[in-house]
Amino acid sequence: MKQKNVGRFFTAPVIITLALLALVILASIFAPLVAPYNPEALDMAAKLQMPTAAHLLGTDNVGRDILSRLIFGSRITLLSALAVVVISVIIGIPLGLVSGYYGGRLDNLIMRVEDVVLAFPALLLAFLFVASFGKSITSAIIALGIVYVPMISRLTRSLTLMERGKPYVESARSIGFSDRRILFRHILPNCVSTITTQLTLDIGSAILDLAALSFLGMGVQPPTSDWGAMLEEGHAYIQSDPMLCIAPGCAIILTVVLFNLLSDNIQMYLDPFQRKLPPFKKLKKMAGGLVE
Amino acid sequence: MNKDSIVSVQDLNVNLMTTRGVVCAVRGVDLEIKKGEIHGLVGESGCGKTMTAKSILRLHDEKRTLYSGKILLKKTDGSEVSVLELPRKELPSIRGEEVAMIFQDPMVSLNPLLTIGDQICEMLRTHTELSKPEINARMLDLLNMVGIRPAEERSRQYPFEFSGGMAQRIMIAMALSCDPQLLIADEATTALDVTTQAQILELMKDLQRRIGMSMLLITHNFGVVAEICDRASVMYAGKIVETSSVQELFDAPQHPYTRALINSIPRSGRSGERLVTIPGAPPSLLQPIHGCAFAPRCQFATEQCRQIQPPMTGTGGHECACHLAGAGKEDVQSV
Repeated sequence: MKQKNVGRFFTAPVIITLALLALVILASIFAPLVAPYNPEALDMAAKLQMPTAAHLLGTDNVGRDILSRLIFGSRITLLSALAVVVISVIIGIPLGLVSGYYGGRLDNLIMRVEDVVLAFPALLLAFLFVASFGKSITSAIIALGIVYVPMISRLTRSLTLMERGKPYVESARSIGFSDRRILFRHILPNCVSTITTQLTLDIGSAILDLAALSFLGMGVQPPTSDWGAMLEEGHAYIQSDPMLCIAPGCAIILTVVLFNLLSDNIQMYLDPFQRKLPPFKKLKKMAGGLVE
Repeated sequence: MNKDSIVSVQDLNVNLMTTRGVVCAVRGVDLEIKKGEIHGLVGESGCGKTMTAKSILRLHDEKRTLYSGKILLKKTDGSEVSVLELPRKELPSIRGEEVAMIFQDPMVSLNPLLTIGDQICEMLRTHTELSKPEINARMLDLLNMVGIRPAEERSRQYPFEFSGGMAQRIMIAMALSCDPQLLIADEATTALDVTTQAQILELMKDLQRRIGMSMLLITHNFGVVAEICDRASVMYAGKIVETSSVQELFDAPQHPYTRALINSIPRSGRSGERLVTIPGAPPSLLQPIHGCAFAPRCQFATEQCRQIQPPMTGTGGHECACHLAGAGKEDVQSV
């Protein structure tokens, strides 16, 4: 009998998470079709409205529809936050692996350079970068990506240090695997679950940091909408019209939580010991007459 | 190097740099492992057994380890290499292919995230040029050989789905997958219960005989030595104090330490008696040792023992490092 791998990935929470995430992503792709208004159309007559039937989430200080701005804003927000994280991963993980595994001078060098990056306030470093490469969303993304490298690579390094001492790594060395193979096929997968959790949290901070840059005129240029920028613009009205902050704030939280849930579930699936089994009834059937 | 030897360790010293100073973990070990023999390496914890064995594969952290001496390895193609002088790049060609090692705790010696079939296949992919189906077939053969059945089904399981004994069988299958000439078993049965231990020993002996490889068996259990080894060396404080065939080691141990060890094996049918121990503890390896390392615990020690380190002497394959070789023999024979 051919035995199939019985672990399953698509459990109810995963399906709900994926559905919601798909909703967010589809809304951003088909923004022009979904959004009720033009996100940049001003309507001073209807400014600072509370949610009504016409404006489901109300309007902002110049009468733009908040829901439409959220939907259009998700495009730039999600793409740029993901890009920041991807850049930091591509640079940070290999650096962390190498410095944790080999140690010594190379480790010192990498860590000291990262200390320098960490010593500067993240935004200051991003300013520097934007100042030298021009004001655009791309340079803001690259700058933040680099600023995020030390966090990822330090985490990877400490995990690598932990895994390096484990017997399975020694036994992999004793059977003649190359360092590269040990690093990427044996150590990295065992660190991945912790790293992904950090990454999903980084998506949230990337959204906020990009907003700060935009607020200072170095990221997204107005009137383009972006969740972080909306949050920054709205905070002046937080006492009188809290909806201006609540709407983009909730959007950010929801997205980060969704990514987080997804990563938790991926992590659980990757670890064969934590993997969800099929329902007990089905397991019983698979076991045949063995289980009473 | 002798003609029939596979590995020859000559005057090996291993010094470990630690925060407390330099630990002389191995102090001048000479060891010959012959083709097709099972060689036991016995001694109490911390006497340098594992250190010696790991040196053969150069598994130590080289930034904190100083080696001196020589380790010669005869490769399958007949050429001889000096392991300690090999460039790092060439180490993988020895590890797994010429010498393989299995460890004490099989449950954590396997990567928890890969199925055991994957792990064995990975080993074969690294060291051989077989095609995919050939690798798969070989993997199933290996699993069958070590008694993991049904191989096909179990190869798709993860390490946590196996018991300790089964996991050790998998480690053995992996170690043997590239037909090494020497298998180092580092306390390979210590973590297992007695019945499983017997099965694994049986399996190793059986495979060793079938494949014709040599084995270096590290253990602190004299019972294991008696059961499957051909020859054995006794280590104390980083030095080999006695080497001989197992038969002779038990019948006529020469070194007082060997005798004390054999004496301290609990025997059945003597209930109510206190277990025999060796008074004192092994010396710290942080300080240089003058004279015989065992002298402070040895009831026969003389002034000469405390001053001069005894050389290995003896003939006919039975060597011993003791000024008083043979003294106190009656002790053992009387029990």
